[in-house]
Amino acid sequence: MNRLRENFVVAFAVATAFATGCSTGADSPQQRDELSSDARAYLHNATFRRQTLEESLVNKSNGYSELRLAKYKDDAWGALPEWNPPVRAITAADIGTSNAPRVVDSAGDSTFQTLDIDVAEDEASLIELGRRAFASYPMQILPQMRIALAEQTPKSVGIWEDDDRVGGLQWVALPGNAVESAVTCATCHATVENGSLIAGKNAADLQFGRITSLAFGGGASSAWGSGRVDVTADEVDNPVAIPDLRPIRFQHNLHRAATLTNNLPSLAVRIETLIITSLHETVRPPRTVALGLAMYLMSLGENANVPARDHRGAAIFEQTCARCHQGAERSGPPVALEIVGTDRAVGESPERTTGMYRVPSLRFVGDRRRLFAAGQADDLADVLSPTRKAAGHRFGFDLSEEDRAALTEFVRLF
Amino acid sequence: MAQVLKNHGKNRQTNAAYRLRRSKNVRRPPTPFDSRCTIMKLCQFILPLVFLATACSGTMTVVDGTGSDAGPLDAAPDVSRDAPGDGNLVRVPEAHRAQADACDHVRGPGSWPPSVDAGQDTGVPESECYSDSDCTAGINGRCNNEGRMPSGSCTYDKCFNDSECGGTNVCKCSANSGGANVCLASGNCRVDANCGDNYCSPSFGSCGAYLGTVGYYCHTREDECVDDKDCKSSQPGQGAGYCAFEPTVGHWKCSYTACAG
Repeated sequence: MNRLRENFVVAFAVATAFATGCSTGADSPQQRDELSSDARAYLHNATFRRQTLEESLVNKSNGYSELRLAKYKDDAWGALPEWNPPVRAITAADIGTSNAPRVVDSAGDSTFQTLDIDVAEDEASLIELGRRAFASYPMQILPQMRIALAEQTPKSVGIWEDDDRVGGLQWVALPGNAVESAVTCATCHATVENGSLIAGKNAADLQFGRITSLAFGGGASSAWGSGRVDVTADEVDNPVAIPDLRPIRFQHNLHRAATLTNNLPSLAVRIETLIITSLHETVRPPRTVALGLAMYLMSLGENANVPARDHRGAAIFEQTCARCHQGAERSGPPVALEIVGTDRAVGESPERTTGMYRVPSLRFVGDRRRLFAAGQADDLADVLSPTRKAAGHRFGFDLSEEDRAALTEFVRLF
Repeated sequence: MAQVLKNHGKNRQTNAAYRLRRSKNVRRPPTPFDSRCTIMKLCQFILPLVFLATACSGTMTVVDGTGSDAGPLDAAPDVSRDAPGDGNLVRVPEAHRAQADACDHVRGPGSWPPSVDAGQDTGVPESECYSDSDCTAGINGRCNNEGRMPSGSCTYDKCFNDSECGGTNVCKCSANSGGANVCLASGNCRVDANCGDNYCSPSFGSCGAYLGTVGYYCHTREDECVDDKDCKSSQPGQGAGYCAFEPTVGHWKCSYTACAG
């Protein structure tokens, strides 16, 4: 009898172990790959998309908000045709000539392809789609890129090169057998350092204004400076520093002027409407592309460093910076322009103003350049330097040299 | 007349004002039609498919070259046109290139030094030049600063007439003393004669009025606008737009946006 009881206990224990081991826990591959309910709703629910837009707008009275509230509807922008044109990467072989290639060559072959958007609706597939779209989906048709590269080397105008790719630029097939150059996300939001492409990092050397000025004979864009673009049609001279997208998952708000609150669906809507307006409301991107880009961008910061709390700079950071740059995200709610104290032009744009600047996440700030809304500060050391030329954001100026060095070292670890 | 977009730090001009400086109005026989194309009123709200032929049919209202003052438009602009197969297709644009004008060889001084105190909060990198004499890499070098931030850059005249530009490219003459003559490498016409019975007009690009004209394009049967004055939108968030050739659809339409971002 004892042996029977003993055998039963063993059998029960073994059966329990098997049952536990086979149950689907929170970390199972199947659950990790499933789309969140918000992501799925963005793809399939127009009411959800509209609600997301409305809830994300911080100031519903600026031009950015008013336009989207008027047109982000199924019977307006939602009725635009989906656009996924044949494209081909601009390569080193295209430099030195402003002539666009033919879509179909004399032999009847074509090197142009559309982006494969027929992907499964799971996390991994959409992130992969976003990764591909990041450097291949045409965001805006800009002939000045090919015009400038006819006479300038990419390096001379701050365009990155990686293997055979040039700045993520694409040739795009257009109606009427036309082909024109276009920028992708990667043109402005990627760099190449030590031979590696760093997706998301702002192209601080990109002379977009000069490229445009060289192509079309002068204009206000010639004075934008490296790493800056005026993206508002508000008739105000307010170029903004190209943002670093690596920490976007940590950002409390989107846009320098804190125009939007940030989460996955609001970022997808933001990307979708960005493409629509950049293409002059003629077409819209496939929603899988907009969502894929959002998910891909959110994935960029997954491996951000978490510095040790016992670092000497940690306490200094808590006293000096953490009131605004809060928590693990090192971001937080937006701050009034007068408190930040830096140049107000970007924050007062009639198109995007909220009366505030967003608090940029300090994750990845260690190697970031062109800081503050208009890129007035060169880098982290410049931000914390009491002799900085650019006005405003004087936090930490009263630190001793030793404390400032510790703080700088600590923040570089983010 | 389309309003001038010149503003602090930005030497912008409307398409119409810029074009009229260099083009000549050529009057063509008006087409005497009376009725409006009512379908076009809907086109403001239902944007066309990429390859959709115009849905407009019927007769056309004559609009002369000067046009009348146009206030905010809630309906689609009166882009009057003939029935398919007829002669002139579009009312005469306020700016079109009937013939190619050569640029003069005289260029005024550059706009450097800047109007703002270089000691102010800017953080802009060093200038390429500090006087016109620093600009020696081409013809008529000038040192310019046309923005809010003090950063000088050199510009040079790249051409003086179309024949120096090759292909179908137009030599765009500088609009002011700081600008330079450049070969416009985008566009599909040089003069009206290149467009059959239609007109060849200058167009802004995707980044809007920042750049002035980026190319000359033929007007088409599918156009949604003819002049900038057709693009005064009453939509919130859209102010004074501009009529430009839109490459994604292959015809002219109203645009309101700037560089992507």
